[in-house]
Amino acid sequence: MTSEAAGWMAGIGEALGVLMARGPGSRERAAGFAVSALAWWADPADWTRAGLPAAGAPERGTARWEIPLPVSHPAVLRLAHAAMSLRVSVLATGARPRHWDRLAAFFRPRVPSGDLGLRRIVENGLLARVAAGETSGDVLDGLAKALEQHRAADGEDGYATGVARMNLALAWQAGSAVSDLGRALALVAAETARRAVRYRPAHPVTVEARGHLTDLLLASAEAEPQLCARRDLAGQALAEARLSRIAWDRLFGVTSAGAIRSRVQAGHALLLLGELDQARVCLECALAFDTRSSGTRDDQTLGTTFSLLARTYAASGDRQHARNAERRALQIRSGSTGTPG
Amino acid sequence: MRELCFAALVSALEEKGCGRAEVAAPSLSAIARMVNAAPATLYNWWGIDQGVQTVARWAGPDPAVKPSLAFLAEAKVVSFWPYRSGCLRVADVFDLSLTELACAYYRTIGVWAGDCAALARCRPAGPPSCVAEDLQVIARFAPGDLESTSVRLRSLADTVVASIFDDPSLTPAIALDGVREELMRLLAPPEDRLAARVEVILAELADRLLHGEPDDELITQAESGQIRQAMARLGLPAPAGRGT
Repeated sequence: MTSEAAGWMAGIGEALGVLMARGPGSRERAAGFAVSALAWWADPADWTRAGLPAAGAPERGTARWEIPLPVSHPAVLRLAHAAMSLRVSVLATGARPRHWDRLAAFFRPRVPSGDLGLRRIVENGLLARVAAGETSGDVLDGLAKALEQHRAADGEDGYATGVARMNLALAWQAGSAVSDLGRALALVAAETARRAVRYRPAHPVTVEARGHLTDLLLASAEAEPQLCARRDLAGQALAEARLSRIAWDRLFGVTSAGAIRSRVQAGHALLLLGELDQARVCLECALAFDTRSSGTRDDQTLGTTFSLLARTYAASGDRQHARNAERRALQIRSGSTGTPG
Repeated sequence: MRELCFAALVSALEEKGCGRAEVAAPSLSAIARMVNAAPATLYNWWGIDQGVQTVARWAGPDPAVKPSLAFLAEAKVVSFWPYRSGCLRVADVFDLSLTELACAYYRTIGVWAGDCAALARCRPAGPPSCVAEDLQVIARFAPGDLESTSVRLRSLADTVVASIFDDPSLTPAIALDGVREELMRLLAPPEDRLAARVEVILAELADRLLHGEPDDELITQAESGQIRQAMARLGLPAPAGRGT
């Protein structure tokens, strides 16, 4: 059953989601707006303890004739989740897990342990750890457990189950074992094929999976000691990256995060194939589009781009440019971002 | 707490399996029984003593309108209204562009379809009737023909809701992604579309330069002409070169 307040909060949360495509200033403001709505529609709570920004002016879009919703209400968890997604999107990758953990710790004593909203928050925390480079046993166990829960709740072909599958594959990929890389590649290849059938090959969900597949092919190529097999994997990655890039360009534009990431992947594949000039131009092209992008900037992609440029310059014998690019990559990865030059 | 009026109705629909699958609307007498049994809110607006007659009156004087369906249609609208209000509040505060507003609105329809599945799946399943009116307003600002754009926008709303029915674990954002390309095509102003086309063409050209085989033709005469025309319409100087 939906109350008026729950409906409002749901509408606000979804509408704020479109602001993820805007710049960091708008996203920060959107997070603050979400917290104001929480403060207005839900029981009083110290949302800063949950890792969220302080509430701004009260959200008085409508008269509040209702009793506020309890903090444990699913609509409250959902809006808090949306607020945190906006909040962490402006933070460095390494700072994100702590915020998700604080949000989970805030809700844990207030809702049952199996609560769907809490599980989503915990999953986001685990994924943020993977993105930050942490692949401990706890993280892997947590993601494997999440996959089982989604299988039971949403079915083998459910979208959420597919996302959980991809998350687990990402964690395996981030681990150092070659066998894990193989497992991840198999899992993502199967998921990509599944999505192509279920949603169609050009659906963003499928294209996103294809992007993960390309990453894994590149990682496998990097780990492959045999030159011939390495070139084969890099060639497959280049083909996948090209398909993804065409789809992202058409769906979201050439300056979208997905399109830029595909160009970086293509540059990486060209580097592994020994096409150094093409790799350099491709990576510089990605940087140029990234500079023009007004939306979400992915520091990890930016750091990777400079790192790959450094390798490309080094392989071409241009040590000065290689050192400069490596320095930029280190700066970005340590959290001090600037405009790419 | 002011519940949205439909506890009895939603319970009855859920008992029939609505929420997991589409079901027919309950009969007029069944709705009247709910009205009588309900403790408060919407049912009381009509007066609980009047039973069937009140529900029948809700449909208005048109004999073609089935009262039970009119009741269900109204229930859908009322349940969707706070979602819509929240979405429009964000649109106001953040001065959303037309395409941003449309995306936010479709996502809101998606989240409503998931939250109010029992009502949304009741035949005729789909978005509430007020969505058509809202989309007609959006269509007025679109570059194309009003009527055909409205029809297409309504069809996209149906698709978003159907996606959520098909897989309740699908997020509204992903349901929107399924229709985003057509939505952008319908709503993007012509200047933007042209600019985007030029951008894509130039990016494609750059990629062909990068990835093409040595013997590949980089650009045909027709493509070159298209780029020049597009640049001219944007007020950009055509590049100097041979041929066209």
